[in-house]
Order: sequence, then structure tokens, then C-alpha cells
Amino acid sequence: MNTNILRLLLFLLILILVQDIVIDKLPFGTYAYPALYTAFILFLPFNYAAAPTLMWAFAMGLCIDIFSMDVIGLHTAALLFMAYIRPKILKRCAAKDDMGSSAMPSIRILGLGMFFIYIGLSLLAYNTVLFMLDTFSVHHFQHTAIRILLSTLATSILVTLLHFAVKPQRK
Amino acid sequence: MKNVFRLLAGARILMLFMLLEAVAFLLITSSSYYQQSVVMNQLYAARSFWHKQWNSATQYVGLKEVNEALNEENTALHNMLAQYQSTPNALPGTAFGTAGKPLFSYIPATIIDNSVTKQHNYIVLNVGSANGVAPDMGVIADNGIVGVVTSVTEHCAFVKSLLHTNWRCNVRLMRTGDFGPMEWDGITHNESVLYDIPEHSSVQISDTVVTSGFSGIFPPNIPVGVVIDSHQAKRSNFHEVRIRLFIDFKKIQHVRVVSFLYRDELQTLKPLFDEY
Repeated sequence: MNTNILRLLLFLLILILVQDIVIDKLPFGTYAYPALYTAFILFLPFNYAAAPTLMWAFAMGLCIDIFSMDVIGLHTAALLFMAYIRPKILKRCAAKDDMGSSAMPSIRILGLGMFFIYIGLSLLAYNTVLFMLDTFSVHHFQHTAIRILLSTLATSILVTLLHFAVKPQRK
Repeated sequence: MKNVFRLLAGARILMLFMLLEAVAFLLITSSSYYQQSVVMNQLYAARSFWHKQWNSATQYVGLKEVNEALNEENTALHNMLAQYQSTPNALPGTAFGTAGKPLFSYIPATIIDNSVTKQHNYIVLNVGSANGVAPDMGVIADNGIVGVVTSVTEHCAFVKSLLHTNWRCNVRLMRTGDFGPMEWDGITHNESVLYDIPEHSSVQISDTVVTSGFSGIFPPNIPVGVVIDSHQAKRSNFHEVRIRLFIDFKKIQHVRVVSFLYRDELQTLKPLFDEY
């Protein structure tokens, strides 16, 4: 249990640093915001309890807010929302007996299609909350919509790449 | 009864979610301008150490271009000086006060943190109150305006970038003399939009846009950008003019903080306006 928390903390720290040092410096323009750190919530085990998931989302959101010079609370609100609906999406994407497993949701377990539906829907929820709160108006809605879709796509690609890098553990 | 407990157990997660989300929203809404800058000051003082290290490592990459730009500016300044020396009493009245004293002084600064991809972008400078920087001072580069200082620590300044969708600054079309507020629309980092240019004004593509010099934040007549598109705004009698900015916000490193020397005097004048 203790090593588990330490491992998660290390993962969180690495993701935040990679986001701040590498990804935020890449030339993506105003349309795509690849948020690699969402992988932290997306890669939590199937049976990870909902309450600690929300706590982790809150902690990580605050760290990102402080690091990224945005309004404090912005990424927190979006990440919390994603953490809240993650089990609901996962339940529909995974087989019933997989939901009790302590493995990380991976392509091997979910299948390619369901894996993309899982991360795609979760990230769509995340980016929708994030950009609607950031813009806080319906004035240039078409631009906000493009931003949401492109960011979801960019983040999905990064998260999938990371998924291959962290080597899902065997069940 | 069992069902009620099951329902409550399910609702517990929802309640925790709502509670945490409420905290997040509270943080967003309470990050109002003043409180945010006070809290952020402390955070940025800590963060700026890291960014200074990062910046000192990456700054060398752009040195060649910076040198070329400095060289160009130097030449232009020499040319201007020569022109002034050859014609007595040719100093422009706008840059000097009535007593012959300059209206503005400049504090050189280097950018240590910058972003261009958000809707509300901020910049951190390596100068602070120890160098004479104060909130509400303008920040300019050789080829345009960069932003306005929102808060300072002893050795750092927190600047609201021109690329901030809720910040307007007054600019003027050089050829026609019409002025209006310029506000970034959040689309790309090298374009901005100038609003409220009257219908009868003959705006043309490639007209130059310069600062108006109102409010004493920026000196007048600093080039900002060129017009690339102009059309009548929906349901209004005004033109909406799209501007290509001269500054490349992605590459910008060296800037100057503008200190308006009669700022305090201007501040004492403002309450007088309100009385009328």
C-alpha cells in the first residue's frame, strides 16, 4: 500500500515535470493543448476507489495550476470532472470481470477500439470543462470547439504513446 | 433500507466530487485581480528561480538573432541622432515635456517566463521593485508593445501579455489618425484585432498601426503592426480591423519597461475628472 502511494507520487511528479519542461515548450499554437498529465488519472487501476481518485485529481490539478501560470482552480475543476466520470466510462468500455482487476487500463485488456473510446471520451470531458472555463464566454464558440477537439486528439496520441512506454503490468 | 444505504454510498462519491469541485470554483472566482496577484507574487518568487535557470541555459541559442536586432536598432538610433543634430529644435514634442525633460524613461529587462498558447497569457521579467518597476507600467520591445505590469516582487515583475483576451489597449492607425481599442481574440499569437474604427474611415490593407500614447502607459507612436484585413462588424457602424503584430511573441527575449515620469501627477488628475 505504502509503496503504491510512493510509486503514484513519483509518477505524478514525473508527469508534471515533463509537462512543464518539455510539452509546454513545444510549438502547438493556441488550438492544441496536449495535457499529458491526464494520463495519471487515466492509468489508475480498474478497481481504484472513487474517493482517492478524486483526491489525486484535486492534488494534481492544483500542482498543474501553480506550474502553468493559469487561473488557480482551472485545471483542478477539469481534472476533477474527468476523475468523476472515469469509472462511468470505464464501466461501459471494459468487460465485467476486468472491473475488479488491479491492472492498469491498457490496450491489451480493453482492446484497441475500447481503449480509444475510453481515453477519447474522458479527455473530451476534460477539455470541454477546461476550455469552457478558460474562455468563459460563448463569443468565439467555433474556436473553442476546435480547441476542444484538437486538444483531445493531441492528448490522446500522447497518452497512447505513454501507455506503450510504461509497459502495462500483467494481471 | 438496504437500497437507501446503497444510494447514500453512491451519493457519497458524488458529494465528495461536488465538494472538491466547489473548492476549485471558489479558487477560480476568488482569483480576482488583486488577491491573485498577491498570492501569485509569492508563488512566482519561488517559481522564478527555476525559470531563471532554464532561461540562462536556453538564452544562448538565440544570441545571434538578438545581436543582429541590436545592431539594427543601434544603427537606426545613430541615424536618428544624426538627423536631430543636423536640424536644431527638431526634437518631437511628444517625447519631451514642456520643461524639456523627457516624459518616459526605460528599464531594460529580460523575459524569464512566457506563454503564447493560452487565452490569458502572462510574462515574467527579471526586474522588480528593486529596479524601479511598479504595477501598471507598460512593457515594450523594439517593434511593438508587449504588455503591462500587473504586480512586482523585489526582483521579478509579472506582466499581463498583449496576448490576453480580457485586456485592451488603445492604438491608432498612423495614416488616418483613427484610434480604438485593440484586444486579442485568442486565435493566433501574431494577430490581434482593432475595434471601433468608424465606418467612414478609409482603412487600407498594410496600413501601419501605432500606439496612441493615451493613459501614459506606453509612449506614443511605437509601431505595433500592419492591417491585414478590415470589415464592418456585425450589426454596428464600426470596422473590425485585423492586425498582424510586428513582435514575434514566441521569440521575444529582451524588452523595456516604460516608466512615465509624470505618472503620480496623472494619478492626482484622474479623481478631478470623476467629479464632472
